[in-house]
Amino acid sequence: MTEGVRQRSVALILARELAVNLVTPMLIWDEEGTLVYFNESAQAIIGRRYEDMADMTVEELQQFQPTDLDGNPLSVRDMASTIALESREPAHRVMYITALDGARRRLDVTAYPLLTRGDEFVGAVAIFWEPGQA
Amino acid sequence: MRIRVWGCRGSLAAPGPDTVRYGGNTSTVEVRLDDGTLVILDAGTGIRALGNHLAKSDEPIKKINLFLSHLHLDHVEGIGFFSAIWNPDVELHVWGPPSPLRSLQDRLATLMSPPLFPVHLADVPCRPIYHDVPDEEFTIGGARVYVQGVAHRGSTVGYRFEENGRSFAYIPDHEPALGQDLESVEPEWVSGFPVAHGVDVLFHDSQYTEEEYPTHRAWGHSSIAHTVSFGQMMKVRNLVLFHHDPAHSDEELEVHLGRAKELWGSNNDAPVLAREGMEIELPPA
Repeated sequence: MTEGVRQRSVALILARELAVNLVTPMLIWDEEGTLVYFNESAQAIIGRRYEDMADMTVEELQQFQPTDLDGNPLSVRDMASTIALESREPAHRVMYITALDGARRRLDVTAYPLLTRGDEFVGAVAIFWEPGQA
Repeated sequence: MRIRVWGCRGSLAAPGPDTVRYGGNTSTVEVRLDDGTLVILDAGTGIRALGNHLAKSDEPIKKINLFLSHLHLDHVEGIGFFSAIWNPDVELHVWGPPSPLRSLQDRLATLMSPPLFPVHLADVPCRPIYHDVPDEEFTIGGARVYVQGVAHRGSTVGYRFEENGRSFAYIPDHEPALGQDLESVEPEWVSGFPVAHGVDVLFHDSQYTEEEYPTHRAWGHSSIAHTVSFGQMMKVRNLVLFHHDPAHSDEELEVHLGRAKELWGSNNDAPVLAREGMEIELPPA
């Protein structure tokens, strides 16, 4: 009866609406690890509009050339969003990225999984900020 | 499928001379499936009169499926006054949204236990059978039932029934416009989409006027304008405005209906106000 008619989880819908209404940069991932939204503040740090990056997967985070504070490359597996999505645990990382506008930025990132009733995993949220700009 | 409204008031029963035409009882809707199966949606104060009606029926009711949209008081407060629960010959199945911590029975038992109620739920003669609503489509009688969590305060679901090519959706408490503009968002990001999409009849929360909504934002309810936008986005054929605010008189509701019709334009049939005693027949397509 509802074939082809899909609604995102209410938790994911409300997380996205929280992001829409926040000035804290925020990314929303769905349960498959696909980027489904980031807000305008995140756009300023990422260096590109969401419309140009819709459906990005966590694997594609590598394009930001993440490194730790000493300049050592960070694997996608070590990034906070990936940990929240794959291990379904909250994670925090401090790193450098090269944004898509070419700027090198230091970021603090905290990500956490979204688990709804019945422990159903519906996605993850990552908030991030540049030190001194919080 | 035949639908009959026994209560359509939101939040608090509001009997009195100002609410005679649309009624003061809180949410209860009877659905008779084509094979005779009895489904009841919510156990507001309207379920008392429904119980009395069933008791007078020539054919005694043996089995009832009671679907609760959520456990706010106005949707469960009538259960202790539903005559069927005092009949040991009735097989009553109670369905409701799950909780990670407490069973449906435990949560309802809070309401039906002293000092709030003189009899414990565990002692009612019909011995209800409790079910968490499943995530997947299931069948009741000849109808397919689809349940989805919807945006409201607390764990809340909307129900969609499909039988013989006809469909009915019930989302009495719902705030799909919370934090977003329904005119600009894609349907998959709108709470209630698969429940209401393309149905013949939608009963939907319409508690507030556009003027009232800003001071009640995030209370879990919709304005008339949100309800109309939602109904249009879902391409429903008949929109029934439900869950009337207890402060709204019959005259005020009719003014709100006028506004809903104005917003609705000429798409399908114009919205109507739910009222106690309203019957809607959905014959097989």
